[in-house]
Amino acid sequence: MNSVDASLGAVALGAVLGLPCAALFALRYARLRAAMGAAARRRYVKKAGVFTSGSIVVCAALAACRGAFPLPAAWQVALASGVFVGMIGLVRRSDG
Amino acid sequence: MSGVRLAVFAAVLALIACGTILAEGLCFVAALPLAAWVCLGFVRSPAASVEAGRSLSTAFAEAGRPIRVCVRLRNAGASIDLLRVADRSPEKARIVEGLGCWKGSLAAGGTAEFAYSIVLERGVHRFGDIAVAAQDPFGAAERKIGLPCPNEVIVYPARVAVRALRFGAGSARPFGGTSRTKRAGGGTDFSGTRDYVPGDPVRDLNWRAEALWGRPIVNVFEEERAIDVGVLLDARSIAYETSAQFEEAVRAAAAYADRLLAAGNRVSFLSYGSSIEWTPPGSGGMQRWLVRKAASRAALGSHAAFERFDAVPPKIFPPKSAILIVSPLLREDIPPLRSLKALGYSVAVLRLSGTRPRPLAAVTGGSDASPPAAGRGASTADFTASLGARIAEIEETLVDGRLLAAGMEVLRWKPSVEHGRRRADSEGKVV
Repeated sequence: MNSVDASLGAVALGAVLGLPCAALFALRYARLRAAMGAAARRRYVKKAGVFTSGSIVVCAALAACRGAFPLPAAWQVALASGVFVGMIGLVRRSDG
Repeated sequence: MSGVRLAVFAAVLALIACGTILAEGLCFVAALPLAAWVCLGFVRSPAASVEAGRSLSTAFAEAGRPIRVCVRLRNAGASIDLLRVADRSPEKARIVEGLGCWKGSLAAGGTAEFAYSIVLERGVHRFGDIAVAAQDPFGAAERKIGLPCPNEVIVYPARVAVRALRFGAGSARPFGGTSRTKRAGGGTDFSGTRDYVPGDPVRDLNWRAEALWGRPIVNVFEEERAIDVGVLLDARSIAYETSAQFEEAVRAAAAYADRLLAAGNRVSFLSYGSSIEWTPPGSGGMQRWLVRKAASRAALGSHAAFERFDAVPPKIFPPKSAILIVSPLLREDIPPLRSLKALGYSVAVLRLSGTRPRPLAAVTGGSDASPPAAGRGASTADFTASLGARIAEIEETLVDGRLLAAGMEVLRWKPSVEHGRRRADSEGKVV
């Protein structure tokens, strides 16, 4: 019973984590709908659906494994460096 | 990278930063789909094999008349889900109908077209590239290309109805026209008498005058013939106060050249500014087109060699032909014009009037020439401006008098008032 609850929780968490993607696609669809043809709209909806579903599944799987693989300190430092470099790149991009 | 992808990329970085600071794995998980979407744009870039062409309703238009521009697109590659097309119309173009851009989907081999209308000022205008941006709506990846599509529009000055000019040119062409030329033995309208010279037809001898004066006298008749006219447009920047005044001059020169050509004359056109732009003499529809083209290309300029009319090469005008000079005219321009007159050319000057100055009485509120009373500081500037305008008017009259004394004709061109369509207020009489 506990494992079922945990699975449902993980799926719900995955759905929540995939929500930003779904919102992004919905917003873009609303903005571009008038300019797109019927075939292009169908393709867009299909792609967005597949991508969002995949995201939810992956997020749910990762949420289920949460805590199983603790992040070592070295990885944290590497990620922080990545964030720092990314931020610099973002600033430079906005300058250009 | 598009704005949306930049925003999402920033959100990804923020989530990763939160995850790192809080040591919370869920933040990394939340960032993962968004990061994947951003990366997708780098991997999948849409193809843009688009062919485009632009057609214009006319490549030779009158100023102020709308020109219809039609852009046709053809997708020569795979289907494009979202295509944005922007036509780069000339800088000074004013769109009066439709839009100069289009967006939509284009299937493989599909075509699309959009049209809009623009209004252009006088001049030669060039269209730029057609900017095409193929976008993948899902990935927000974009590929931009510029399709070269050179088009040129020549916009000639707006046509103005003007009264016919009647030049008394020394030499006439052998064709009928509207210009009066005095020729012994020709024509039907009596013009006057002169002394007999060998070669004059005997039937033109005026026996009564001979009996009265005691020497042979012949009658001189006038006939209307086509003549050679050179229209000289002054394009020196020192001669004009504003570019609007120059535009008025171009309009006047083109209008009179048109009128002279319509009367069957042979007309040449000379734009005299930073250089000499010369349209050789000719008549008929083709010449009208060439003169309009020359008028559309005329531009204000300055060059040390062409500051005065001394550098006008008189030999480009046929001997004893008529020359119409369209210019506001400077005082220093009178001697060179006298030289042209002395060479046997029939010179007429079409002067551009400025704005009429207000009478001094309107400013001072009293006597015509008295300055404003002390304490009325605001009206002092008005008085000075009005006085300056009056001095300019006197100088204009003085220049006119000198031109008339030299045997030239002076015509006036007042800036016209728009009543739906421009109308000239040109007085074809000697001032």
